[in-house]
Amino acid sequence: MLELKNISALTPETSAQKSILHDISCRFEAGHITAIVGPNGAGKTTLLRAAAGLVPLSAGSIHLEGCDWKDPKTRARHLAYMPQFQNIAWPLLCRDVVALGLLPHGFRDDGLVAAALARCEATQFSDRSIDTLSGGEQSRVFMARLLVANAPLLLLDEPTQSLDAAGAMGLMHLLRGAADEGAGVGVVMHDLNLAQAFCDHVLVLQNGVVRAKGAPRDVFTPSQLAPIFGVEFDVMAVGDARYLMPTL
Amino acid sequence: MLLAALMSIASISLLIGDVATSPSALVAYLSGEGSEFHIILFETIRAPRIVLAAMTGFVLGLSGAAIQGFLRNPLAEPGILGASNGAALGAVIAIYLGLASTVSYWVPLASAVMALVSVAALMAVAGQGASSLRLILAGFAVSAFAGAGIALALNLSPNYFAALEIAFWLLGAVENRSWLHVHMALPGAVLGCLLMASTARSLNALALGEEVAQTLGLAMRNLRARIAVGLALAIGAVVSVTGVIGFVGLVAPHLVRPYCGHMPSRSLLPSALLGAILLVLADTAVRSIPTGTELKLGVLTAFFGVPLLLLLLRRPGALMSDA
Repeated sequence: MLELKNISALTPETSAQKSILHDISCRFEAGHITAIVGPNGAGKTTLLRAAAGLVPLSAGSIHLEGCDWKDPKTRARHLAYMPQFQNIAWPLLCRDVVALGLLPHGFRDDGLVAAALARCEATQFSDRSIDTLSGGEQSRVFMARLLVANAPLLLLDEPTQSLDAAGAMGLMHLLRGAADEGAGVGVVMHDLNLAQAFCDHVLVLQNGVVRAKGAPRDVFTPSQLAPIFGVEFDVMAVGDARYLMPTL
Repeated sequence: MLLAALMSIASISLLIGDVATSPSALVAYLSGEGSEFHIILFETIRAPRIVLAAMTGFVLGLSGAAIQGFLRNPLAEPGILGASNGAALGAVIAIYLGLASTVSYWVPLASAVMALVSVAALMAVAGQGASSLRLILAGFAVSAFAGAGIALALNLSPNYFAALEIAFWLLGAVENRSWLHVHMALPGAVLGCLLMASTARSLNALALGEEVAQTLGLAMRNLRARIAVGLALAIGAVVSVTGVIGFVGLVAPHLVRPYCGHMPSRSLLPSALLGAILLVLADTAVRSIPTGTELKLGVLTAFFGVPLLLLLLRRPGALMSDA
């Protein structure tokens, strides 16, 4: 679906540029959720932004299956992106916020907007102003904006960070549903347990370099994670599930 | 509805002024049976200034809504990128050099050129691909520089009358303006407004922030250029014939936004029409208030604009989203 080949990126400053991403190759496959994890400052957000076309590459290339990734209009029709902090300049009505997701397609379809809101259990907010909602409620509306155009690739930056357990689970279920319908999903996460419960692939970054990638069960081992995160991990098994706990 | 209101207010405004006029005189004039006196009064004295006030208000209202949408900031006003002060500096230079009295085209021409120069300078200072914040700060710098140029012209003006002429011109007015002034401002105003109106959908996308807007296919560089050039053309055109008129461009978008669901694209035309209404009303008031020297339009808009803005500020959530 989306393939990043040997990409590198530099900090935007004109003087003393530092490398933020170095020679990274990875794929976001259709039907799969790929989690990007790593300690703070590892380059996770930059990698996601690069995949969305928001960061100029100093080396490497990005290919989107079947179309020209370099063309902003084409890219906009094929991917939907949600930043880490989504703020809205004006107190728009929620249905108008969701409809913005259809802009790349040049039409407004109230049926699609209503369906997206319903899918995110946010129908009751349709006619309300976005600034009257709580953080969790807003996140459901933003998810509806992300999903409304049925983009084949969804990129999200720490979407669960300010959500409670139920909210985070609900959001991951939505992403799982989108992936099961064929979308490719790339998501930056800090919660390793949520990542291994919902994701098909993980990509572990440290200092702008890929340290490990593969299925969560293979990558998330205490011996691999400890040097990357700087803490020891214990593994707890409950039934079939296993949980990673930082050693206190 | 706003258009109908504008038409009615403009018609009523035709009847108001130093010379009292009855509606029957207007009806007679419109049916082609008016006296010569009324033809002169309506056609060459009142109509041009009303049309100019409406056009200026339209431009200010549209520019205000566009620049607020573009900068995602409800405190932005059309002069924020330096076009107003740049245009004013151009006019002041023309007046200072004594060109105003010889060829009346010089003032608008100098204004329009300086408005474009100031926006070009802004682009050069801010650099390509500059963020909105950088653009605002660079706009302040360009604006302040143009302000310093105006101050210098006042400081060095050869005589008292030249200084007074500059100072009065800066206050902003539509009195004693003819169809010639309307014709001079019209091309720039139309072109500038069309450029700004073409950004409507992009401004909606920007509500989600520059990054998300870009992933929705928005070309920021192109948008920035259309807004900056559109603003310079339209504001340069109207400032060149009316002087600097404040607050309309700041207040009009705020007044209409709650009725448009706060969508930037839906606010553009209503804000422009309301701007036109406000300025025609203000000009009518200026003509009706009995003062020794006729009040300047810019003075009145500031006097009424400030309390209006303060009232708006008191309304919770009226200016800023809490989101």
